[in-house]
Amino acid sequence: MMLLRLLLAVLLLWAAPAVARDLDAIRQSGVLRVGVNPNFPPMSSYGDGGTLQGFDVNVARELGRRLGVRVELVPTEAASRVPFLVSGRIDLSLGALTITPERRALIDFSVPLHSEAMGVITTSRLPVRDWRELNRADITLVNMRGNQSVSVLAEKLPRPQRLLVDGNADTIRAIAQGRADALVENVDFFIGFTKNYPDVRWRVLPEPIFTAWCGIGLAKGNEPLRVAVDAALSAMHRDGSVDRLWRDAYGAAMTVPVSEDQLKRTAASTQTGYRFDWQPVITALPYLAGGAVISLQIALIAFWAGAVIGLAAALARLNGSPIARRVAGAYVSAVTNTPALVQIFLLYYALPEIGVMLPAFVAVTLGLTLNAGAYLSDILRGGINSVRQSELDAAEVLGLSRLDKLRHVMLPHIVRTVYRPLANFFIVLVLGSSMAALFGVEELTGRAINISTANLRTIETFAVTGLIYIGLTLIASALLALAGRTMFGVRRA
Amino acid sequence: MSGDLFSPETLAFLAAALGRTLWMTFIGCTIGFVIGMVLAILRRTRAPLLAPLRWAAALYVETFRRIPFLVILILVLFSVQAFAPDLSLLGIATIAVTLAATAYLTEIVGAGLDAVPRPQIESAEVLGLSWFDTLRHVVLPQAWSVILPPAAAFMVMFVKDTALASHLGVVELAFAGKILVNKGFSPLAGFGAVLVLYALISWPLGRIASSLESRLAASRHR
Repeated sequence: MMLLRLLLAVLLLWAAPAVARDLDAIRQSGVLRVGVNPNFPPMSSYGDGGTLQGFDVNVARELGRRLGVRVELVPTEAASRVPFLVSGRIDLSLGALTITPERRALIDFSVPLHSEAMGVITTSRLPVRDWRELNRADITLVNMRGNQSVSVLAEKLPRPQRLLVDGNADTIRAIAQGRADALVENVDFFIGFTKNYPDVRWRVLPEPIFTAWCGIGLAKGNEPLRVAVDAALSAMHRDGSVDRLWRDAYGAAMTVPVSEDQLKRTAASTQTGYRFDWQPVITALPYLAGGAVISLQIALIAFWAGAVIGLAAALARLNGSPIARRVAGAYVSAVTNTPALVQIFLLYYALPEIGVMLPAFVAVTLGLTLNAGAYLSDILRGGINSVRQSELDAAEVLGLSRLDKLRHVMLPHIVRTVYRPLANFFIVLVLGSSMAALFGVEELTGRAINISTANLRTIETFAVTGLIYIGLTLIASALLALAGRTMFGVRRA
Repeated sequence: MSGDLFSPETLAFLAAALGRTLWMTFIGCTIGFVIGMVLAILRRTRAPLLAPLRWAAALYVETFRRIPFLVILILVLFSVQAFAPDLSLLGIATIAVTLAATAYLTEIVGAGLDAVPRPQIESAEVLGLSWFDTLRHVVLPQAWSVILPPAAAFMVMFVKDTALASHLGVVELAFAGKILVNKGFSPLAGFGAVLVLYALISWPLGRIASSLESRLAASRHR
């Protein structure tokens, strides 16, 4: 409880007054700082020559031109958008920022920039005319893991089978290959991938299931800037600039265009600064707990598989042939002298070059296992070395068989030496499993990133996530210490 | 621009990234070592007045050793916005390294202090040495050789952990590999080059750390 209070006290310092720049400050500096997502083609991504390009980039430049300032693009991950707006690191945030009441409590929005029409992409194989006809158990819908559409579907179309895949392009490929029948998603963002399969007769069902709206995000209470952005953006809608830029990026018109009514309705804001709200994170606790289970799974698999490899490597280095010794030694120094993260980059991104496509979970667990093997081999070697020759000689004199010698002389020694380092290493693995998040695995950290991307409560979400890790490792440490005492006679430190 | 991994521009780019990796590690671990030293000594004081501080130090160490470095990085990124919105990402990552290193180095320094035999400290007290003089002339000179090798090994290990700062967008070695791959190098070439660079740094540093260990250990047993 004290821990929680201390953390809160530290975090509350965060609620300092917002330092977002107002319109005068921006005009004076002559630079408008716009946050865009660097990995979101065709909205914004790095093109040839390393410059950002896409719909959002062009919209930002056009806005800057109309406001009479130069635009500086700031690569901004989804979860960073709100903190960066509040602190003034960026003045505007683009990147398909869906307008939701939850987010309105945190930031202000311009009038809508574009729509997000949740619709159905399917093929001529499926003879349906309306999305409601999809609610049948003999249909398989493909979805991208972690997308908001997954929960929307569970509510609106509960019956169909689901196939979860990891990437945008994978969804369309799954339908082209016949593994799924239809995709329910933002049609505009996904339709581009159908061009990769010209032989398939693609169809988009006419009526979207629902439409959300994306606006430009601004820090709360920055009224003159919001009014200026609204005026410029409305003008861009009315003179067709937005439509033209959208067609440039997507090769088609927006499925549901922004209406004149929406341009007239602008909402002024009053509140400023950042207010803590823990409710969204507390609601998500069961989801985070599920992620913690996956974190533990990764750590357990890596630990036990690593122990097998580590034991083999330790024995090879102690008693193996010269070649086995060399190989084991090379393995250990190669792994322990390079970052696990870069090793997993290689497993995940480079292995497909030779035709081995590992799913993210497998690549991460394999990478951590290889690491565990190397580090555990060092620990186990130390344990085996801790058996003194004099004790083995004594056992020899007593006439113990080889097996008895191993069981009664060597193992007790080894276990007592290696138990605590092994237990510590398991904790290291639990913490290390968080790396999986960077490859889209939905373990604890991955789920925290998912949540904070949606609710934008990054600080609250990660403070709670940190507490879950602390609780998890404390329980694991306590259980391991108990098991060590009762089963192996390992004394407390 | 897929093509020459050994072009002057690419090499300069990688060298700058390597510099950032070493900067984060060295600055973060050095500050962490100094603070860790203070915290470790603080935790071994006995004055009742300092009890809350001892308690806070213990809480700090336990907390930061049980949160993944990746989560620490993300928390620091967002917390720092309130105080220093213009602090560079490299600065933010260095703060995160310092926070994590402090927790681990407090433990390492503490183990070194505990390795000094109790009777020595008791005799120093009997001789009338002040607490500070005991620390300076009796404990630290002996603890030093126990502390340095694992502290050096920790710093060498942390070179690799800083790869996670790539998630914040710090252009250190791991992120440099990603950028090379995005520019058209094959993943094998881009990440492979980075992997080799890490090994070229980590291996000799590791050798220095372990030779430090055997040299200091030898001097202890003389």
